[in-house]
Order: sequence, then structure tokens, then C-alpha cells
Amino acid sequence: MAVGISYVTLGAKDFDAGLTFYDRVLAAIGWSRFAVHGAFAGYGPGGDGAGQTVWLCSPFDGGEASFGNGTMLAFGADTRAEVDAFHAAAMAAGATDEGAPGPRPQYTPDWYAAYLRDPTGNKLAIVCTARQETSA
Amino acid sequence: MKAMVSYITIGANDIDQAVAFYDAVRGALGNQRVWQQGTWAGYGPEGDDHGVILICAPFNEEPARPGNGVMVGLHAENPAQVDAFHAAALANGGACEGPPGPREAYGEGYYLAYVRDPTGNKLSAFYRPV
Repeated sequence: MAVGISYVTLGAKDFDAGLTFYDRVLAAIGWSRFAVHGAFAGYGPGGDGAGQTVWLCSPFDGGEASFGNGTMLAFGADTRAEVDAFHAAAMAAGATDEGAPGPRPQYTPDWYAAYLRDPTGNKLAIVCTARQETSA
Repeated sequence: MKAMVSYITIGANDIDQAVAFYDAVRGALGNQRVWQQGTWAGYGPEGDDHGVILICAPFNEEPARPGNGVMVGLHAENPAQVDAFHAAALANGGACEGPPGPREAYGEGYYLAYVRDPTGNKLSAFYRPV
């Protein structure tokens, strides 16, 4: 758990398209949308806004949404299957691939992750660090 | 436990300047720098060797740039931490995007402050009564 982060907002160039994208993709890790306040939509793991949340928004300044270079939001997955499902759901919903699901032992021995960009260009990661049994 | 946000990276064009800024603002909120390697630095609670806020030069080697609509809301334990966060940010190259104070429009007892880091990335410190 990312102790210290309460919430993260991401901008959407097309808010309605963004809702469709995140509804589908975050369902792969058991998250759901719990609130829409104007052009802010809140997603969280409990479906009630408790704990950490991610908000999709039209930017506060009224300008067009853009993605940050160097900015990447990494979601945690409980299993490697969730990483695969998250990436597959994203690709089916209009994402751009930035790295297929697979091990990245150069980061940590059990690191299994996929990388992608949402329709606005925001870079996302989905990461499982659960310890794997050694196979024969 | 359900899956959570694992971490977030924030781009920086000058890692030394960024580390000075994030040392101060994360310190105000009770986190610390847990590692630094080249143009990357990780911040987290004590005992977390990966970190939850990672400051980095972008992977694609192009200049770091803030996203419009992107903001990281950092957890504060009390309003005094929000005040300290904001003061630390402004003293270390940050810019004010909203002074510390109640934000009752968002929720009862909510108390926030908003800043931008030296690269322009927007942050808030967020307190709400438990």
C-alpha cells in the first residue's frame, strides 16, 4: 500500500470516453467508480470512496488535459493474472501499449508488470510483486 | 486487502533541485527519501525500500513536463502538517496554487493546500477527519 498518497487526479481530454475506459480497465483489479461530481469521477478499491482514490477529471483551469512526461501512475495487482487482465482490458478499450505483461527481474526478482497509455496519453503501470513459487 | 495504488512517478528536470524540494515537503508529511540512484529518488515511510513517490528524469529522455489535470494528493495527519507542507514547498522553489485552509465545499472538516513543484507538477496536502 502506497502509504502517503491519498488520491491522484488524471486529466481526460474526453471525459465521457475516459469514464468508459477507466470503468472497464479498473474493474480488472476490482476497483469501481463511486462518485461523479461534475467533471470529476472518483474510483477506488472499495466502491465507497474510503482509502485511496483516483479521480478522472477535466482540468481545473478549463484548459485541455495533457499528460505529464515523467509522470506514471502504478496500480497494484494481487496476482499476475490481474496484470494480464488489466492490460488486455486497456488495449481493448483504446490504450496504447508501452510494455507487454511480463516479468521485469531487473527491477526486483518478483516484479511482473505491464505499461500502457490511456486515451489522453497518461502513462499507467499495473504491477504485481507477489512472491512466486520457483518452478522446476 | 484489495489492490491499491502502488506508486507514482513524477518527472524532474533537475534531480538535485527536486530532491531538495521533496525532502522538505515529504519531511513535513512524515515520509523520507529512502533511496537515490542517478536521476531517480524514492520517498516512502520508514522501512519501505521501494518508495511510493518516485522522482525521476523521464524514461524517454525528453524534458520532464507536468500534465494538465494531473495532481497527486498527499496524506496529512492534521491541519498543522498541511501548513508545514505548504511553507516547506514555498521555501524550496515551489509555487502556491492555493493557500492552506478549510475546503468545506469538498467535505466537512477538509483542510488542504495546493502547490507546484519546481518542474510545475501539481501537488496537494490533504487532511480529512477520520
